[in-house]
Amino acid sequence: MSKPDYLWDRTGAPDPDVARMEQLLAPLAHDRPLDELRVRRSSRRAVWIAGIVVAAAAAAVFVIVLRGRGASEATCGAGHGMAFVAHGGEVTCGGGLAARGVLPVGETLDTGAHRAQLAIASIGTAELFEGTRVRLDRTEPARHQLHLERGRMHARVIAPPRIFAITTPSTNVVDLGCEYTVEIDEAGRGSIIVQSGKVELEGAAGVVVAPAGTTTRLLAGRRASLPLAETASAELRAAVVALEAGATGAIERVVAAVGDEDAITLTALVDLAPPERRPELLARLAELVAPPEGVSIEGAARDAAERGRWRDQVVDVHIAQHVLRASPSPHK
Amino acid sequence: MDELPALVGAARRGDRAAFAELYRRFHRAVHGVVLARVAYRDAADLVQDVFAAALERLPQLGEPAAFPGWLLAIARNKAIDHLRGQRPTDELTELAVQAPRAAEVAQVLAALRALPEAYQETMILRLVEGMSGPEIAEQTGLSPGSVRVNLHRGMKLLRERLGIASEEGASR
Repeated sequence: MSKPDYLWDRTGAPDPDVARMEQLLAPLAHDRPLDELRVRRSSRRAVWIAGIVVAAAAAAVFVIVLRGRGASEATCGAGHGMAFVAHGGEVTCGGGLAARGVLPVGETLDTGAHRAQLAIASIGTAELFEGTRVRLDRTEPARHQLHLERGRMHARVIAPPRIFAITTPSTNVVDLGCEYTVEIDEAGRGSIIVQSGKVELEGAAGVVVAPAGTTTRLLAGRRASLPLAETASAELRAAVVALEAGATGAIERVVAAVGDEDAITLTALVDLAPPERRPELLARLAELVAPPEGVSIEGAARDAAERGRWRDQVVDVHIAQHVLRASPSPHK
Repeated sequence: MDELPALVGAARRGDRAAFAELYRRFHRAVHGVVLARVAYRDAADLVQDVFAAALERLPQLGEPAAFPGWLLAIARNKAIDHLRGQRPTDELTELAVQAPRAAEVAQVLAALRALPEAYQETMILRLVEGMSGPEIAEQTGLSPGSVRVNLHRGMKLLRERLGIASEEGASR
């Protein structure tokens, strides 16, 4: 009989180092299910394409049925667009009421007192809450784009980065493959909460990357505020509000309130702050997340590309922290 | 694994349940192989790409029993292709932060990736994916003896690089 060997087959007394590392690294283990959508898309030439064709045909029939049913309802229900289904009552599509149909490019869907679910082609879905008004600006294989005029939308997208985007009166939300909820009023004030993956928020003042586990306020005037981790302190939240209001000394307040898991907030501040403030902000950032190889504080202070590489690093760290918080249990 | 050739054969004939079962059995091994080379944030997506590619190429697989090694070769190639498409620092991207657990994860992951190639994958499969030595042998096509040696030598090196005294050393 062989000697017990914990490292080999977990027999015998656990080696404390091995057990500790197992526990530490377990949250990184893979547990995602098979992404049928991607496999289907990527394996068109496979022998068993017939089965996939059947599935695709079923989806097409669904869309055709939706279109057929909605054909008599205003300008919705025909042509190229995104299929939708209303929940709780009819919604306004292209000026007419409809329980379901196809939202054509250029038309708007207003949920009024009800809700609706919109199919973002074959890459995801968007749930539109009460009081939401969206316009479909584009739907092509390389880009699907909705304009959220007001209201709340929960989007879940499985697609390569930048295939889906939501424009709003203040900020453009570019999907990098994820799930998030955007809420906005007609002046462009609102917020985005990212549940998984990450998004880019494009505003007049630049780009903010908001990863999973953050909330970012969207401000009138085409800009996003700083992303805040779900663990951010009340002091940091208050400091960010002061910064949004342009209060004197707000940058110092943010820096003073930043904690170990707030690098994502600080990295966005580096990009938004005046260039002369960058070295001190980057020095504080380096205490939280070391710059990647080849990036220095001095280099990042003057070079946007270096800052971008550092920001990628910070986003990675933030997502890892989020994963660790969400999956505290050790080994399966 | 006796039924593996039958599963592979069924998947080749278009049996989607068989392919799903192959995914269930091998997804952790594929993730471990990919994670040894690419950033954590990209690894899960690459796993899906690997299985998509495997599905497409299944008709080209000569011997169904060779599936494990063949699948992991696709995973290695996909990971390398992915790195080619990245900016240079992306392939070096590691996690590093003061928050206690994340910092430690980053440190250990970096040390694992810096191990000699022979130990890297085996150690990641054991410590990250939670696979046992026999499972690793079964899913990589390596002999149990090789896996065992890789694990013990890899762990010894990992301890040295992380500055952890070995059990034997500590007890002396």
